[in-house]
Amino acid sequence: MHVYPTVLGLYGDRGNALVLASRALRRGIAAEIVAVEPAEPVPAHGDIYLLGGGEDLAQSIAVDLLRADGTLARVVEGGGIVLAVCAGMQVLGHTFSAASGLVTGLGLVDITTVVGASRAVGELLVTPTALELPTLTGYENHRGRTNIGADARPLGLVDQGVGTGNGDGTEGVVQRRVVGTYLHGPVLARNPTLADLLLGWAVGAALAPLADPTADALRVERLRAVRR
Amino acid sequence: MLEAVIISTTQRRVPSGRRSPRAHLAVAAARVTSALSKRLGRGHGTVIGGRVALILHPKLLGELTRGRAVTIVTGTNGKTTTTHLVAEALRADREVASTRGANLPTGQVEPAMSRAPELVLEIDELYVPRVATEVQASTLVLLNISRDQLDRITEIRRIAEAWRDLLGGVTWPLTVIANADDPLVVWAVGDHEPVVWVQGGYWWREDAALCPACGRVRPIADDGDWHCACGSQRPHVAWWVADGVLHGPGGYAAPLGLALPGRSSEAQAAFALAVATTRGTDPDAALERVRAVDTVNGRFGAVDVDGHQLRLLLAKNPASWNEALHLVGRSDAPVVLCVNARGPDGRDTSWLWDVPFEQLRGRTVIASGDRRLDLALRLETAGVACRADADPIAAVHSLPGGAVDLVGTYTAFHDVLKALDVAW
Repeated sequence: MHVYPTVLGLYGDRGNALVLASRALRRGIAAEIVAVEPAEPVPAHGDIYLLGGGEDLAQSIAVDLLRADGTLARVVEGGGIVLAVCAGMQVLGHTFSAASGLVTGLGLVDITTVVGASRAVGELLVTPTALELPTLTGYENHRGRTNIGADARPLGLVDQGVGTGNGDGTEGVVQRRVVGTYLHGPVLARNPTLADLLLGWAVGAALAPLADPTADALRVERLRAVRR
Repeated sequence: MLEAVIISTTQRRVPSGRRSPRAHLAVAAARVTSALSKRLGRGHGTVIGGRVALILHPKLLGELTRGRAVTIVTGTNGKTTTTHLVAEALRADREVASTRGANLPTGQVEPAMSRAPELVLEIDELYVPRVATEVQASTLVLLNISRDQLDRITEIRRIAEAWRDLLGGVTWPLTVIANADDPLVVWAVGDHEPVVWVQGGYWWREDAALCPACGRVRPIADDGDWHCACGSQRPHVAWWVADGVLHGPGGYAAPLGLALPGRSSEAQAAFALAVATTRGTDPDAALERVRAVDTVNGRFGAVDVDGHQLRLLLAKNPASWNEALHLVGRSDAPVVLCVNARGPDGRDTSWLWDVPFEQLRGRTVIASGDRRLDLALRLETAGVACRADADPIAAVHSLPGGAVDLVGTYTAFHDVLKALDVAW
């Protein structure tokens, strides 16, 4: 379920849906990308829900629509799988800042986001701590500074870049089966193991790895470029 | 004969004596620096010369352009081509100086130094308020707004807001020529008068899901029409192209017959005619010159590379790649795609996932450029078989002889031009 791709999809985040579908199909698992536009109800039967990045106005409108719709809250409370990137992650928290001021979020994840003094723009490298995954790579582009509450855990520790930028060197958030991150790239293209983890949650079993020569080569190149 | 030349010169040129001593110094410094840079093989020398001049005289553009008509062309895509077409159209009956592909203020010193009575300047979207105010532009062409270099521009709406603020407070007569198809452009224009609306095309619509005026979700119809409950809607156009025929005010209609390919070139030609007629040029004379343009700064040009007829296309963001792929899709020629992520390209390659590469399935495709691996993964995921080659020229050589299309991001494209020794 790609939720509001035309509103929350500024940074190529639709690629996350394409990567999930492609990796499922390569394993013979039927997969369909359902793009839910803002005028439509969010279906309740999705296996994985994706929310991407967007500008302030789009983010504020998306949170109102999602609150009125109500389905995403039931999905998260029922243990549904959500990948929320950047503005999409902020929307799931208690509050976030937009140009219009402090906005009440959906309150589905124990985070709050305020506006930082400067914009975090650049390659971001993360050592995951909440999930059993290799180093995560991506590109961040945000002004959010996200504090993580007691009910949630950071996704990992920042190796290069800013991440949540709250002073404790963390990046992203994990709560139940919701994964939030500032990593674009898109994140699942740059980190196929995270895509496979989400797919494994959806099918109820860990998946055998695929041969990924291009994605592997890209990861080696990116890690080398950032650590140089 | 000689007399006639002298008369036209005195009529059309601004006497140099009006320049301040400081402007003289800045212009002389720009000339010396540009010539030196050019001799050292560092390109046109336009930008470095302009940089020196603007350090010596920060208000130089305003002083040099005083009393001359300036048209500014801006927008995410099509700036360079439209600037070229507008300048060509106006040359039907006057002398024009125009920007050569460098759209920051430093790139405008060179055309402003000329004595041409009319200037056509290509200006970066975010610099438009500053430059338009400084030169008291007479005409402003607003092409389109969509995502591009998000690491630098960060929010698309900022561009529309900057234009809207400029037009809301403009204190001199300024004619706006704007794209009626793009809701962000229409919102940016607001209540400004006068406006000439052009059917400027808006084919990649991922940035137009929400009404910029009120935030409502409102669709754009397949034919490009849109209207919102808040009252904002696609304005009636004065200039449009239908089935290869250009239509204008007063029932004007003429077959376009452009040498440049593609629907975006048709829209840009409509902009050129809208500007030219607003500035008093005869439309038929203007169109004749626009038709003849077959390459713009190396773009669209065909180059022979050892038996390959290589067509060179520049694309730098989802909307412009969408148009490049639309062109490429008209044949089954092999395609070399080159993606870099250096400063002018935007350092984040995430946008590759917004480009509809799926339409290249079944074609021979080679991924090149610094970020060929990002591109190759994107293509594989789209079901497009490809191979990667670090060197785009070697990639062309590896293909059987015949037509080849090459699409590159800004720096990748210019590396190819340099490697092939194509002037731009």
